[in-house]
Order: sequence, then structure tokens, then C-alpha cells
Amino acid sequence: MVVLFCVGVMLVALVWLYPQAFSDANREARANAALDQVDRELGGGNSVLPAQAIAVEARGRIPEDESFTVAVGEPRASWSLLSTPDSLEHYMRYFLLPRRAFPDAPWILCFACDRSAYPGATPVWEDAEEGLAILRRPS
Amino acid sequence: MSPHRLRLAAAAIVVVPLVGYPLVVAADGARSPTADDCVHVAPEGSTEALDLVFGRRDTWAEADELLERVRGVGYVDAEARPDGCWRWKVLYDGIESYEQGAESRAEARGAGLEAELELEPPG
Amino acid sequence: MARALAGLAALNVAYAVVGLSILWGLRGFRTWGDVLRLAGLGYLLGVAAFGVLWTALLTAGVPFGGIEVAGSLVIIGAAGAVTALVRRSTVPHGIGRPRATPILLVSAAGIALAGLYLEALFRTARLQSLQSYDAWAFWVPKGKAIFFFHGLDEHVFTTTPNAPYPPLQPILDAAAFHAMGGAEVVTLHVQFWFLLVGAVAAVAGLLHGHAPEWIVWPPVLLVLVVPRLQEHLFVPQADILVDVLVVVAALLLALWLRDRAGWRLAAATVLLAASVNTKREGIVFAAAVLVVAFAVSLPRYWLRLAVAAAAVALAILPWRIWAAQHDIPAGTPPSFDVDRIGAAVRLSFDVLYSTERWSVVPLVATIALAAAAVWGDRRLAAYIGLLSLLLFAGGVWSTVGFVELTLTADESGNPIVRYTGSIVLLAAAALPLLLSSVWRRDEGT
Repeated sequence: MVVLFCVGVMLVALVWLYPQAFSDANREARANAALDQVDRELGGGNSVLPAQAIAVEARGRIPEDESFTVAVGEPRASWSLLSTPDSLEHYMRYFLLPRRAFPDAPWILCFACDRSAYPGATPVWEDAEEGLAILRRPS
Repeated sequence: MSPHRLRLAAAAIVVVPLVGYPLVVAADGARSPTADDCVHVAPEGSTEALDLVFGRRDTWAEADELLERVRGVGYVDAEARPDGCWRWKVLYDGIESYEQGAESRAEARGAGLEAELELEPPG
Repeated sequence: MARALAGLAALNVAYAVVGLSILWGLRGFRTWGDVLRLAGLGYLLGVAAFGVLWTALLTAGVPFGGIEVAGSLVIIGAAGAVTALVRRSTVPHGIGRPRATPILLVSAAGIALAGLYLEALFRTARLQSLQSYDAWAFWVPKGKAIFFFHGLDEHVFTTTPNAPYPPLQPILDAAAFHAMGGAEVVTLHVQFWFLLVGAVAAVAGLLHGHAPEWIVWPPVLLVLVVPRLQEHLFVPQADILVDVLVVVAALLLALWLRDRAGWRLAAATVLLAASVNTKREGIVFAAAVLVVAFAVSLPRYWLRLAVAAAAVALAILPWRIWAAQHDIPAGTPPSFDVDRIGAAVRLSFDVLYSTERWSVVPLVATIALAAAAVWGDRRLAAYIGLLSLLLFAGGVWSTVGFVELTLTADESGNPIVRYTGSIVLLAAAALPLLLSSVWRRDEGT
């Protein structure tokens, strides 16, 4: 009796959950397919980065054998709460590999940073509205 | 039920949904993404906003080289931009009509550049 | 992307072939039906052996590249085959057709439902974006570093968060990147799909013949569709991997307690060796599995278990030595706040019996455990019960020991929900054995 009870309870739960799970999987598959390539590749970066463009530009502009650093200043009002210095650094380190992150790197990913801390560095790209820029120090 | 029919029934229970489901969802058309997803060649006579695209490269540095060449030919306002599929495209966005674009395309090709009229991406 | 998928499929087939070769060396195969039945276990053994080998090789400075990956798989497979030839392990003959009884239709239904859901999950996985913080903050960067820099890059492995975590999952990620031809983090989710398929096949295959099919498939299917698991199946972290390795090892040992077939203990040892190189809690899990096996075994089996335990302990050493050389701490709980014990126990209990997360699996497992203890296989009930208790205690210990963890189930503040997944998976895998021991007793009376 105990065995039949246990199996019966599990079957009832299965009848309830399986169709939902199957339908959820299909719905999520369609949602994933509907993303554009940049959204899909950035993934969690869409929640962390103030704008996708800095990741796209950084990946395109910084050669794979060069290094970068992440400099984060006062967050802008338009930024998400997840745009913290740690998150931004960790995300860009993940996203830009094999480019390495070093404090004295020639490329600076500036998130509303204090540019006076990088004398001689010139912007190669920027989004002034979000306070984002990619700076390059002379080698 | 005979053993043979029992085995057939078991095989059908397994095979029919496992084969049928992929066939049904294939109708969804969720293809694997490719870099060409961001290439939208303008149909002839298009009245949409158009760009004259001179090519795509995998890195900004390679796109910049092409950009220098394109500007050297005379397209001084050409730019290099991300294309939305992780490549960089070199383009001129001053096209105002399909006819103008087609002429520019012909000139660019005559100057040895690859050129194609594409629909301007939204946003 | 199609090429990336094909490469990934080839890699995972290779894991299965290599693992089956190991199994052939350990036990032989009577029929090709046996091979098919144990393909899932073979797959996990291949993954585990590959991961343990490369953890040792990377810490010794051996470079990690595509050719080296392929070569290592050939070597492990060859070692299994040579062992089989030396031991004269049986070679499979014939298919071994399943018995044509009505219960065959139950098996077919179970396989069909599992397969259908796994097919739906494949569609989800193949275009999944990488969302989880832990995945992009340290798990996947480590895998990328092994791929791009051909080894345990000191800078990455010492400066990313959670440096103490061992490298087996990143090694598998890096192998996947090689198979795909690039660091494709979207397609990487399919690697976790393969792991899930292997896990389901392993559990179902191991249980076949030890419990009636109508008792096997409900918990196996149910645990697949419980809400909490659905949400996290393909997150590129090591939680699912360590849980799968430990639970399948525990299942092997549960069966070993019955028939003392040496190959089960050997296979469990390989899986546990991999688990201790997957996450820090893998050490706690592996220790629990082995300690409880000791506790419920007669002394004449202790030597075999001691050899297994020694092998698992040795497997930890390469990473621990490399970590110590690079000033990476062990990562054990730094303190023990006695005042938190009560709250930690209540939290762990609430999380475990949360039907919102795990449906009825823990509840039914508890009933099955009690029933088996009274009317069924008492040694099995003792094994599963004690193991579950130790795993539960491990979760309490981590909440008590890491005082910065919140006393809530919020996963951003406490990993207790993820940790509890191991207990729930164990419950689902053990349920068929527990219930069938009661059923067979009932049938015999």
C-alpha cells in the first residue's frame, strides 16, 4: 500500500508538472531564438552594462593579445543597480578574454571614470550620454 | 498481445514522439544563427533607408584598413560600425534613393571595391 | 553554429566511448543491450576520468590543446580496452532483446517521456545566453583561460572570484571550446544538456533490473521537471555536475552493498575522484558517501572501501598542491557560529521540504525511507538515510561556518538551495530501490 501510495503521489505530481515543464521549455526555446545575436552573446551583460556598445566596441577594437583595465566612477542615474565596479570588472574580464586585465594596461574601459587619472589617454570611442568611453594610453 | 506486437508497440511508443516532435518544431523555423543574419541586401527598387556597404571584417583594425581604402577612393564620409552580428561593416549612409544607391554601387565596384546596397538597420 | 554542435556531439560521444571502454575493462559486457543500458554510466565515467586526468596534468604544467584532448581520450579508452583484454572481460554478443511483457510498455513510456522532455530542453539549451553571475564571474572565464592560454593561467586562476574552486568544470568547458572550434559561450550550454542526458541514462540504466520499471520512471521523470531544477539545468556552473557525480556514485555503492560487485566500487571511485575536483563541497559529499558505506558494511569490506577512499583522497592532491603553491586558500568555513545552528537547521529543512522547489520528491523519499527501514531493505535504508543526514548536516555546517551567508533561501545570499539539490537528486535516484525493497517484501508475504 505504501509503495502504491508513493508511486501514485508521484504520478499525480508528474501529471501536473510535466506538461507545464514541457511547455515552459518550448516557450523558453522560442524566446531564446528570438534574441538578436548581440543580446544572446552578452547574456548577463545586458543587466550589468550601462550600454551594449562598450562591450561590442571593446571586443572589436582591443586586439586579442593586448590588455585592458576597467575604471568605474560615479554611476549615472540611467545605469542599473547591477552596474557596480566589481560586476563591471568581472564581466568585462570574462567577455574580453583572451585579452587580459591589468591595472597599467594601455586600453581603459571607462565607465564614468575620472579621466585625469589617465594622463595622455585619448578616447577612441565614447558614448557621452552614458558616460562610457574606451581610452587608449600611448605605449 | 503477442511478444512481437508488444515489442512493436514499445518501439512505437518510443520512436513516434521522439521523431515526431523534432519534425513538428522544425516548422518553427528556429535556425542556428550565422554572421549573415545581419546582412540585408536591399531588394530592387526598395524605398527603405539604405546604406552602401563595402564589406565586413571580423575586427575593427581590419575594418579600419578597408575604411582607409574606401575613403581613399573618394567616400570620405564612410564609417566603420558594428553590424550586430559581431562583425564590423564599412559603409556609407548618405544614400537617399535606390537609384542613387545603385549608381554609387556601380561606381564603387568600378573602382575595385566590393559594394552592396543594404537596408539600414533599425535604431 | 552547426559545426560547433557537431564538434560538441563528437566530444560527448567520445566521452561515452571512453567510459564504456573503462566499464568493459571493469566488468565486461554480455550483450549489446548491456552496452546500451550502461551507456549513460559510461558517459559519466568518461567525463570523470577525463576531468581527473586533466586536473593532474594541468597542475603538472602539461599544455591543454585540441590534439592533447583527443590524445588523452584515446589513451584513457585504450587503457580500458587493454584492461579488458588482460582480464579477458566478456565481449558483447547479440542484442539481448527485452522480455516481451506488458511492463515493457511502461519502460517505453518512461523513455519516451524523458526523451521528449530532453528534446525540448535541447531547443532551449542551444540558443541559451549566459546569464548567471557565477558563470560569467569565474566558471566560464576559467574555462576560457584554459582554452586560450592552454593551461591553468596563474593570473586568471588566482584573481577571479572563488579561486579555491577546483578546475574540473572549467576543464570540461575548455574541451568543449576546442570541440566547437572556439569559445562559443552560447553553444556551451549544450554541453550541460549532454551531461543531463548522461545522468538520466545512467540512473535509469543502473536501476534497470533492480526495481520494477513502474517504480523507476516516476521519480526519475519527476525530478527532471521539478521547478527548481528546470530553472538551473543549463547554467554553466558546477553544481549539477558535482551532484550528478556524487549521486550516481552513491547509487553504485548502494547496489554494491547488495551484490559486492567490484566494478561498482571502482566506478564509484572514479566518479567521486571527479567530484572532489569539481567543487569544494564535492569533498564533503564524497566523504559522506564513503563514510556511510563504511558504517553500513561489514568489516571484511573495509579494506576495499579504504583503498577507494585513498584513491579519492589522492585525486584531490594535485589541485591542492597547485593552489597552495599559488597562495590560494583551501576555502573551508572560517568559523563556526553556534548561535546560527538553530536557524541554519530550520533554513535547510524548509528548503529541503519546499514543494515549490522540489515538488513531492523529498516528502515521498522520506516516506519511502521509513517504509524501507520497517518493511524493506534495512541496510539500504540505513545507507540512504545516513547519507542524506550527512549531506543535510553539510549544508547546515556551511551556513553556520560562513557567517557572511544570510539565513535565508535567497540564492544571492546563501547557496543552500543549490546545495540541497544534491539531497533531492539522491532521493529521486534512491526512491526506486527503497520502494522496490518494500514491494518485494510485500510480494513475498
